[in-house]
Amino acid sequence: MKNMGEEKVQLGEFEELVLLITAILHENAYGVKVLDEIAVQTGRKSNISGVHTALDRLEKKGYLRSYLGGATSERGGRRKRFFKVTDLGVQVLEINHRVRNSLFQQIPEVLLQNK
Amino acid sequence: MSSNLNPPRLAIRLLRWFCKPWYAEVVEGDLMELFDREIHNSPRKARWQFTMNVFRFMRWRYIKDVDDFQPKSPFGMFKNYFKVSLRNMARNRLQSFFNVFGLAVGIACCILIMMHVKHQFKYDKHIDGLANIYRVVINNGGPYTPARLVKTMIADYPEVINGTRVNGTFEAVIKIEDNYIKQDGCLIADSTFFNVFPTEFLRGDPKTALNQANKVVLTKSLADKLFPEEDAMGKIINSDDEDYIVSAIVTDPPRTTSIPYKVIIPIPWEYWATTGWWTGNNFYSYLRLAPQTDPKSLQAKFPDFVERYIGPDILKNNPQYGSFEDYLADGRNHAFSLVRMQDIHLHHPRLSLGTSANYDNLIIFSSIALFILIIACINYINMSTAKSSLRAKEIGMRKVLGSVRSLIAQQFMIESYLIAGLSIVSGVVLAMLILPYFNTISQIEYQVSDIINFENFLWFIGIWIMVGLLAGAYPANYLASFKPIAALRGESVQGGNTKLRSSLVVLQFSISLFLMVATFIVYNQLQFMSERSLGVDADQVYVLSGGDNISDNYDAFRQQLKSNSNVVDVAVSNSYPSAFMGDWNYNTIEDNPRQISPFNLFVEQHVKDVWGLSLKQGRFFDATLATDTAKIVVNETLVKELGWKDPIGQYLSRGSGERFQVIGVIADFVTRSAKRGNYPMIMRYAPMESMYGGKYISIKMSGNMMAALDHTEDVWDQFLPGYPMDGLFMDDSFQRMYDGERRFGLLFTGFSVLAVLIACMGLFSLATFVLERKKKEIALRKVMGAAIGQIFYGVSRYFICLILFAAVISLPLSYFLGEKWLEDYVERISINGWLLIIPLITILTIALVTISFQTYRSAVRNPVDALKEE
Repeated sequence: MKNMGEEKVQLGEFEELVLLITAILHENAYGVKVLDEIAVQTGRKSNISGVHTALDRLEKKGYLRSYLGGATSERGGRRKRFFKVTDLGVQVLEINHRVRNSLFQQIPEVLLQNK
Repeated sequence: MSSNLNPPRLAIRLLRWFCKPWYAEVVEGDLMELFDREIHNSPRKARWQFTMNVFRFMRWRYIKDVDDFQPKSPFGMFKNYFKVSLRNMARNRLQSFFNVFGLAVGIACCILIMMHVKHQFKYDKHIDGLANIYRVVINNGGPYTPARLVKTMIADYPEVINGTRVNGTFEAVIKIEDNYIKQDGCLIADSTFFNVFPTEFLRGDPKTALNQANKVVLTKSLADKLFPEEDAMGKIINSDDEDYIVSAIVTDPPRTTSIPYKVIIPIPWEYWATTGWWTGNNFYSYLRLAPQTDPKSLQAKFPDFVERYIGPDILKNNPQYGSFEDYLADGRNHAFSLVRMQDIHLHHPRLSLGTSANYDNLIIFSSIALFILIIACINYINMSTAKSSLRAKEIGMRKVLGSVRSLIAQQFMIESYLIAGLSIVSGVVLAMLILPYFNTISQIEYQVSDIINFENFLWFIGIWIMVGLLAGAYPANYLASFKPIAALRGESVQGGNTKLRSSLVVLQFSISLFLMVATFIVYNQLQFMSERSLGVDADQVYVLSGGDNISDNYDAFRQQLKSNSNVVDVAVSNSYPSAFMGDWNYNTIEDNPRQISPFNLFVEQHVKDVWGLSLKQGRFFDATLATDTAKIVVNETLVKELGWKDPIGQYLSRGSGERFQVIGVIADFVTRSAKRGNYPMIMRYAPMESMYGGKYISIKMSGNMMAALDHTEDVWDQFLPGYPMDGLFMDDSFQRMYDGERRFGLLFTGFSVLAVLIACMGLFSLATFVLERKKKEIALRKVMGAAIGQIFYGVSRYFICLILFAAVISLPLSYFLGEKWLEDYVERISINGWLLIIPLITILTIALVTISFQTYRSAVRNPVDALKEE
């Protein structure tokens, strides 16, 4: 596994959200589910095609991996496309988390108290 | 479930149509899930959302590309063909460049010539009922006809609906308030002009626009120019001290007109139309005939017409004939005929009032352009078959993997269409780049929009299809025929027919050589013409036109001019060498008078010195002798033509008792293009105040020309404040006579450069091919001890032979056609050996340089490399 530097991480705001949600959903992330979970977790209304685009982009960047699920009686027999966070994706999440945390720590106390 | 509970079928269909199949299932599933959730709340909203979401998935990444058509349709394979073609082009960059460039040059030539031809054929087509309009011409297509002709013909022949006399176009100086403006495109015409040539009237009434003297019709563009932001109607413009009132404004005639007018005034001397002389030819006559009139049957009535109306006048001038029949029986002629107006621009250059085209040249140049394109196609064929060994393994492999002949042919067709497409694009760009050069040659202001427009776009597609087919069909078939085993084993593949290839190169070089010789001949003749001895001293002679404005103060004007030390002398005449001169009829005074039509020039005494004429016999005019107005000075050609032993004291008459006595003979001097030789000339004496016609003031300068010109301008301004001075140097004026030849030379230069370029590409591909086949031979020779020079010689010899063979075909032809072109010139060069040999040597040198690169490369190669390939 290659290690990433912080400067290499390129992630849009919505992409980051989708990546996080996919990670939360673990083995059970597919288009509609991600869409719903975004709504539940953040109250944000997004669009199914937007979610798909973000998922595709993340896969292309190597942060996600997709596979087709088996055919079930649900959805008229149409298969689902599930997404899993790759090791690289986990790394990215960690880097982002670390950077955010470290930045947040540096905010002067004054600012936080006087809000 | 009712259909309402199902997602909209149309949307699903749409999704399946555009979306990549593997993805469509996933998307469909997701959309269905959302739909099922919503359907219980509001079926309508669910359906609406479903449809909208389908549209939202119309993104580039989900839309099918060529891959997704595989394997049901041939599109999948196309992508591979395309990729292989591109890779192949990238690998053989030089070859691809030659192919594309050669075709692009051919296409650019064709585009430009096509544009030009289309333009030339558009002339006068805007005129309503063009097919019924005819020009009346005299004898062998002479443009000028008698003043009374049109009116009489309308009265006499019911099939002649209408007609108009026209003369022009002139350049005039227009005065508006106190501003002088030099204006071209001035026409004089009868009031019926707009009946013959209907046009749109923006202001004014066609019936009354030209019905009185002192009315003037302007075109829209000129009206806007003369009276910006004003209404030009009813305004007064002045020309030659006459006031004209603007009576109508018409739309501008299009660029493609043989009567390019901007200003029309009624014909002055209206009485000429009813009482004028029948023997004076001063007007162009246009007739509009009734539809379905046979011009031949009308023309058949013209001999009677001539006898009835013109016969009496002719007999009065030629008293030696008893009747008009006698006159005709003596071999004299006076006849009218009709020329279709639609033929004027292309076939009758002398009859056009604007620019004219030479039909033969159009055909010649179209064929050359087409030829260049075909040669470029042939080069492509040659090159792709010559390089076939490079593709042999690929073709073999494809065949082994199950491809069939037709599919491989298809692949190479795609390749040639790809090249053709690239060539069209580069050809169009090239055409736009050469457009300015082309404009100077064609003297037409073509715009980029003349190249790129919708109509031409269809042409481009046509050319694309043609060129792709022409260039691609043979190589595709040839390459597809390879036997897979042989091709894979690396057996040397036959590269097509060498004889065919060689003869093509011979053909290409014949054409190049011919064009080069043609260029040489044209330029040599041009140089000869511009350097020939004129018989007048045209250097430093400045000719002012519009001298009639100064007649009253001429003596003062002349003195003032001469006050500057750089002005040697000043003289007046009604024309000058290199300008138009009218020919007048004179008769000898004998028992059987002979008629002669020499140039008739009015001069005064200073002309001899200013123009540097040399007097052979007798004397020149003398202002102090009042009787000199009845004296003439003639040139040597006239003396020779009339066979006078002792010209001084002879008489010539102008009919009706006017007699002129010869007092001097001058040496011949050049007055016209070298196309025509010396012509008899008569000079008559006329001081400034009695000068006929337009007056030209010739000023001989010396020393500081700039100072002399400045001085002239000052003096002019002093006498005619604000009036534009119009003058030119006589030697420039002589040079201007050969503008046509110069453009001809330019065109030949362009064509020969292109032809040589393309021929060299052909040679290059042939050299590649031959050397490829001789690879082993060369290697063996080297092994046996041949030097590089010997190998070089051995290979080049073949190509030199080809070019010499081309010379054998081309040089006699060039000589013959060159002689034919030069026949038109009385004063001409003779084609000597150098004119043929220099182009040949040039071509040989260029050819050797072209092949030497390839030859050298294969000559210095390590023979082992060639021999081990087995």
